[in-house]
Amino acid sequence: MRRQYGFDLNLGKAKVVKILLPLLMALGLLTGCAPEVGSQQWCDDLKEKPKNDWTMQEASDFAKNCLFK
Amino acid sequence: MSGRQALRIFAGPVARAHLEREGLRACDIRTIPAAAGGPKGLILGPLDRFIFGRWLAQSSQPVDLVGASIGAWRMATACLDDPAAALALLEDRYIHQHYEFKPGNKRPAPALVSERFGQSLQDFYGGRVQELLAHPRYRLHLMTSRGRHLLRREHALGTPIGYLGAFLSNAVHRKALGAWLERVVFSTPGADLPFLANDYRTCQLDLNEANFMAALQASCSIPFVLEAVHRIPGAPAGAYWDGGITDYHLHLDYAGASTATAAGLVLYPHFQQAVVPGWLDKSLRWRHRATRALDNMVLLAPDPEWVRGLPGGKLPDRSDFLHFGNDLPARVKAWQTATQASQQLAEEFEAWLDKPDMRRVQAL
Repeated sequence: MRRQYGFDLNLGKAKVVKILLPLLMALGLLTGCAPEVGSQQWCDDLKEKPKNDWTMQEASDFAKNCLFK
Repeated sequence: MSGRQALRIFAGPVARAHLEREGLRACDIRTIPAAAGGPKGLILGPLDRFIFGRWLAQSSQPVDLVGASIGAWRMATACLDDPAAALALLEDRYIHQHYEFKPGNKRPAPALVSERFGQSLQDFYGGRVQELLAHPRYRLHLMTSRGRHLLRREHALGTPIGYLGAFLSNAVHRKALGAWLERVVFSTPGADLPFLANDYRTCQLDLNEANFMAALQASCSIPFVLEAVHRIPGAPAGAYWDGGITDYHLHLDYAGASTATAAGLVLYPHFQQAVVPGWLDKSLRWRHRATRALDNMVLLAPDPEWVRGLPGGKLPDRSDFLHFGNDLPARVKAWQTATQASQQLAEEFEAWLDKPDMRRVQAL
């Protein structure tokens, strides 16, 4: 008799679709919500963020993409 | 479009008093500024052609032409023989300029844009520099911004950090921008500045055949869109950028200029009422108000309601390069529609000159 302990990774195709698809969609929504670097939304968001919290990369991208629109 | 009034006329208090007394004559004009603003300047083509092609020709006094970026290009062109034809050609060339977008690139490489732009200046002004510098009446002043300290050289990391420093300094005080960028004006030899330059760190140099192209290219070199211009003959070392950075809409102290210049009027064909001092002041609205420096200015601008009737409900602007991408015919069509519509601005100004109705003149 075989006993299974722990987490069963042997998922069927239907389970894969049921579990992974919503996860992938959620991930897509999350990344889709982050404004593209250099877009107006991104520039506006960064202006609201305290300057002390900017990373070097954000500072550089802000100068390149937002100052001379 | 034709049912709606296109032109709005604004005047500082000294200019308004003059208009009430004497109307506006070509002989009253001593200075004409021309702002940075990229394709927005296209809307002023018909006004430029009327002013330089016909109206100012009725007078004989010297006139100072001050330009930054596209404004520098417009004013240099106004100094050529047959300015109306030259300005029409400029408009056509500007509308048809095209920088190929490669797949995956958000914008063309600055090196490519600089090279193409430099070539277009050579094609346009090659062999004609002496003609425009020797204009019997017009004294040309091209505005540029020379980087200092971290901005002294163009550098992949130093330049963005330098401009961020400039942005933050400018937010505190406009004069603090002078720590990062110096205003350098290239002028027709012998011409005094037509404004008092006490407001900002300023250097004036003579234009000549050797430095004209480089100075004009520098005046149009938007950071991160074009490369800075280094090594301008006869000019201090450094990286030279768009004159609009220090003087976006040329909010200069015209009223404080030498007596002869200040006694005349400043005629400013502009694309909006606000005369924004520096590019980095765009979001600092409290700096957009008119000051005493503009007391002797008559400003011509399109009515915002009329602008809403243009393609896309706006003036042509640099975002159109991204919006239309490689669809050059669509962008050309949109911009030509806008420039053709703006003929109405010139017609209304000409009609107003004949019958100067003061009810149309608003406080600047």
